[in-house]
Amino acid sequence: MTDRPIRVLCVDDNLMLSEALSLKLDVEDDIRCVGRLPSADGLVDWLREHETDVILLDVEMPGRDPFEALRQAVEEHPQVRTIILSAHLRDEYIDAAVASGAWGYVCKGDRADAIVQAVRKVSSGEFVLGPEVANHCRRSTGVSGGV
Amino acid sequence: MAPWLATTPAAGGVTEPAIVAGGVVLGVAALVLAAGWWVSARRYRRLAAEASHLRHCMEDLEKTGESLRKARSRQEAILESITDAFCALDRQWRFTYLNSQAEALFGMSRGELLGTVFWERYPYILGTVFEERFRSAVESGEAVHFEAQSPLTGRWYEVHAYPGESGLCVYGRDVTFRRRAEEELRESEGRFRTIADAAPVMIWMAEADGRVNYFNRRWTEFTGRSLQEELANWSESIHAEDRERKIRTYHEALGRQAAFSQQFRMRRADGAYRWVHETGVPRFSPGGMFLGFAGTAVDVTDLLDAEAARRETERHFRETLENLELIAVMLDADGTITFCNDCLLRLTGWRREEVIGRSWFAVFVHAPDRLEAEQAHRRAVRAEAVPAYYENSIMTRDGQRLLIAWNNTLLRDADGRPAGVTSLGVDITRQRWAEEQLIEHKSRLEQLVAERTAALTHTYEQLRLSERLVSIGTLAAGLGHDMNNLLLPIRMRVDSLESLPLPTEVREGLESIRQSAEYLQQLTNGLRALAQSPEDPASSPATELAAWWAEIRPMLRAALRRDVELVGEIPAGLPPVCAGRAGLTQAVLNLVSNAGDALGGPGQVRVWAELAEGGGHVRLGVTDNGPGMTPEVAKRAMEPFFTTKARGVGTGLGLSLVHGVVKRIGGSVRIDTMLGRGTTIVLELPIVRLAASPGGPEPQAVVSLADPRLATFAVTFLSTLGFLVRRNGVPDPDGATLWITDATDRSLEAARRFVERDSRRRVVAIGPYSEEWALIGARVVDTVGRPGALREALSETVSLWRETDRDRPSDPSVVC
Repeated sequence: MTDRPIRVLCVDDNLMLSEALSLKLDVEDDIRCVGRLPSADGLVDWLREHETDVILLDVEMPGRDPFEALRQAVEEHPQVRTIILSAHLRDEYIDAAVASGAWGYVCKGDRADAIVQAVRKVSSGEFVLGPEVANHCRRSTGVSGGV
Repeated sequence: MAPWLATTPAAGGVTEPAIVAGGVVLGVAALVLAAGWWVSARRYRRLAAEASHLRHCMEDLEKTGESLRKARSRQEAILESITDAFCALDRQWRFTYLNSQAEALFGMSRGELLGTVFWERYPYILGTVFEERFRSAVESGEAVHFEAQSPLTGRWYEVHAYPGESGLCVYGRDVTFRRRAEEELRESEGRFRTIADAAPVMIWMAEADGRVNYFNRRWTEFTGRSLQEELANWSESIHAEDRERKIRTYHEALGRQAAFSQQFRMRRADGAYRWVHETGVPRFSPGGMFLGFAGTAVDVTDLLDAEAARRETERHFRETLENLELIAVMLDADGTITFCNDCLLRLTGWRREEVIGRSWFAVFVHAPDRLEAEQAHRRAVRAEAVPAYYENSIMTRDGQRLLIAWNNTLLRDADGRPAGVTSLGVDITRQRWAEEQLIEHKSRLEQLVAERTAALTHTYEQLRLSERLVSIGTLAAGLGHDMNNLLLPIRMRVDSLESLPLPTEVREGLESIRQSAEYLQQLTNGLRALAQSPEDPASSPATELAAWWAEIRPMLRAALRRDVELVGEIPAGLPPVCAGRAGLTQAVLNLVSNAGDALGGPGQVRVWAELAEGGGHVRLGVTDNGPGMTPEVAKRAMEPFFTTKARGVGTGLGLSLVHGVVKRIGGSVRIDTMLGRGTTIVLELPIVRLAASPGGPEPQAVVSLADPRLATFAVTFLSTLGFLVRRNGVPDPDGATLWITDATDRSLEAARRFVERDSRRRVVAIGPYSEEWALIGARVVDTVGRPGALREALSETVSLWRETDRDRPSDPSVVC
C-alpha cells in the first residue's frame, strides 16, 4: 500500500447514496472519493481525465449499459479496479461482472464497512465478493456451513 | 172468263166490261158519245179497237198488280220466315215495315210501331253506334255492317243496313250468345296460355298436319330461343344424335294419330344437353276429327342421374349385404327351418342337410327355453304380430351360446295368410361383451375423472396460492431493492457522522438512527428471503436457524398486530436444518400469521427451536396463548381448504402449505392444542449432516491461472465455498482436491498425474475444448463469449465433488 489514498469514483443514479458513500469513504484516511457520476454515460471520459483507482459501479441505471461501459473502461485503463455495487443479487449480474472485467461484487444490503473493505481489497489485487454475495454463491452451490 | 161489250142506253157509245178477277167486275172501259156526236163506223171500229186495247192494257196492269201483290206477299212471307229481325224505315225514319222478329226485338207490335219515328220511339239509340252507322248509311248511300251492344239491354246485335230510295232497310240479329261464346273462348284460350306458361313442364301443340303452332314459356325458357324461332324450326334444339329418331317417332304417331312418348336430348339455354321425356296425345274434335297433338316434355336428366345413382347404391348395398356376416333363416308357422344361409351354418357348425326340415327350436334353442320359444313363435305368426326386432341366444353345435340380434318379417302365403317368418340375424356376442366392457371402463373412467378433477381442483387452488405468493414475492423483491438503495446512504451517513466529534445527545440520536436503520435492513433482508422462490438454486436446502431468525424476525414482527408480542427462542449452535430459507420463511410466516389471527387480541406468539432427541431433527415450533382448537378443528386443520376464518379472509391452505413444505424435505408437522390453553405447531425438520466433519481439515484447491483477475476470482469464489486455496502452485498430491488451471500443454501431464492419484480429484481447465483434457476427466471451460462459464464450472465441479465425497462408503458423513 502506498501513502497515496485510494481514489474512488462512485457511479450511481441514487445521488443520496453516492453522496453518502462519498462522505463515508472520505472519512477513511486511505480512501478518497474523487468523483461521482449519475450514470455510466461519462465513465470512460472521466477516466481519461482523472486518475482513478477504484470504481464503485451500480448496474441498474438509466443511460449507457454499465457493463458495456465497464468493458471499454477496462480495455482503456486496465489498472482501474471496479466493484459492482448493486441492490440485486443475481447470478447473471455476477457473471456479467466477471466477464466485463470487474474485480468485485458487493450488495447494497451489506454493511457500509464491507464496501470500504472491498475498496481496499480490490485495490490490493484481490477479487471481492461481499458477504451477501458470498452467501448467495454458497447457497447456489448448495454449500452451507462448510463444504 | 171472257170479256164482253155492253151498250148503255142513256147515250150512245161503246162499253167494255172492266177486268174481271175471280168473276168480280172491277170496272168498265167505256166509249161514251155525247148526244149529237156522230161517229163514223170506221171511227167507231177504231174507237172500239182502242177500247179493247185499253181493256187489254187494264187487264195486263191488273195482272202486273196481281203479280206485285203476290211478290210482296212472298217477300213478306220471306221476311217473316227469316230469323233476323227486319224493319224498313222511310226517309223520315218512320217505320214502314217490320217483321215479327223485329216486333219481338223492339218489344212492340207492328200496329204500335208503323208510322212512328224510330228515334222518337227509341230515344236511347240516339248518340249510339246504331244512330251513327244508320245515318252514315243513309248519307253515303252505302250499306253498313256492324255489331253493337244495346245501351238498354246490354245485348249484342249484328246489324246490316241497306239504304235505298225509300229509306233504310235494317236486318238485325241478336248475337249475344255468340259474343259470349267468343269471349269465353278467348278467356279459355287466355286461361290455357296462362296455365300452360305457368306449368312446370314444357308444353307444345300441333295441328293436324303436324305443324307445331304453340310452345309454352317453359319451353322457350328452357331452349333460350324465341317463340318464333321455335315455331320456325323446333328440331334445332334436339341433339344431333337423337334428332332423326325423334322426328321419325313424331311422324309415325302423326300417321297413326296415336299417342306417343320418347326420350331425347335437348339443348338447354346454357348450352348443356339435357335428357327430356316427351309425351304426345292426339286431339280430336267432338265429331271425331283429328285436330293434331298436344304434348308435354319434362327435363328428366336429374331423375335419370338419381336413378343411376340409386341403381349404383343398390348395387353397393347388395354387394355389402353379400359380404356381411348376416344370418338369414326362414321358418314356417310351426318353426320348421325351410331355408338358412351359409353364415348360420358357419357360425353354428351345423351342415345344411342337418337343419333343413327340422324345428328351429329343437336345433338352435337352449333346451329349457325351447317349449316357451316355440309356443311364442306360433302365437306370433298366428296373430301376425311377429316382433320386428329382438335379441336372443342360439346354441352352436358344440354347445356354445351366441347372442344374435334378429330382424324379422312375417311371411305370407299366396292367399295372404301368415305362413312363417324370415329373419336376418347378426352375431352380437362379441359386441355385447365389448359394450359391457365399455360400460365398465366408462364407469371406471368416470371415477378416475372425478378423482383427477378433485386433484386438479386442489392443484388449481394451490397454484392460485402459489401465484399469490409469487406476487407477494415480486412485491417483496422490489421493496427490498428500493429499501436497500435508501438504507445504504442512511447507514453511511450515520457512519460518517459518528466519526466526527459530537455532543453526547447527538451521538445518542445517531445511535438511535443506526438501530432503526439496522432494523429496517433486517426487515429488508427478511423480505428478500420471502421473495426468494423455493425453486431458486440460491435457496439453499440448508438453513442455519439462528442466522435465518435474525433475518426474518423483523418481518414476522411486522406481520403481527402491535398488541401481540413476538418472542424468539432460537439458540445458536443448532445444526443447520435441511430446509430452504424461502420455503421455511413462507411456512413460518404462515404459522406466525395464523397464530396472531387465532389470538384475536393481545397475546404472545413464541417461535422456538430445539434439537430433538437422537439429534436427527430440529424441532421448530410456533406457540400462541390463544383460545386453542377443538379436537374436530385440530383433526381437520391440515386438510386443504379447511379454514375457521371468514370466507375471503383465509384460503384454508396455510397449514396445508406448511405441511407440504415440511413433507417435501422429509419432516413432519404436529399440532398440540387444547381449548383455552393455546396452540403449538411443531415442525420436525431433518438436520444437514456435513460432508466434512466439523473441525476436520478444510478441502484444498489450487488455482493456476495466468489471468490475475480470474485467478483471484476463482480463489475468492472457492474460499467462499470453504476451500483452502493456494495460487500459482503445483498441486500438492497429498492435499489438494481441486485444481483450477489454464488448459496448456505444459499443465496437461501434471493434471493427468493429479487425477490419477485420487479419483475424487477434479480439474477445471480454462481454455478451448480439447479432447486430451476431456480424456483425463477435466472440466474444460471456454470463457470466451460465456460470461458465467467459470462460475458455473466452479459451482458444478464443487457440487460434483461433494456428491462423490458424500457417496464414499468409508465416509459416514452425508451432505443433504
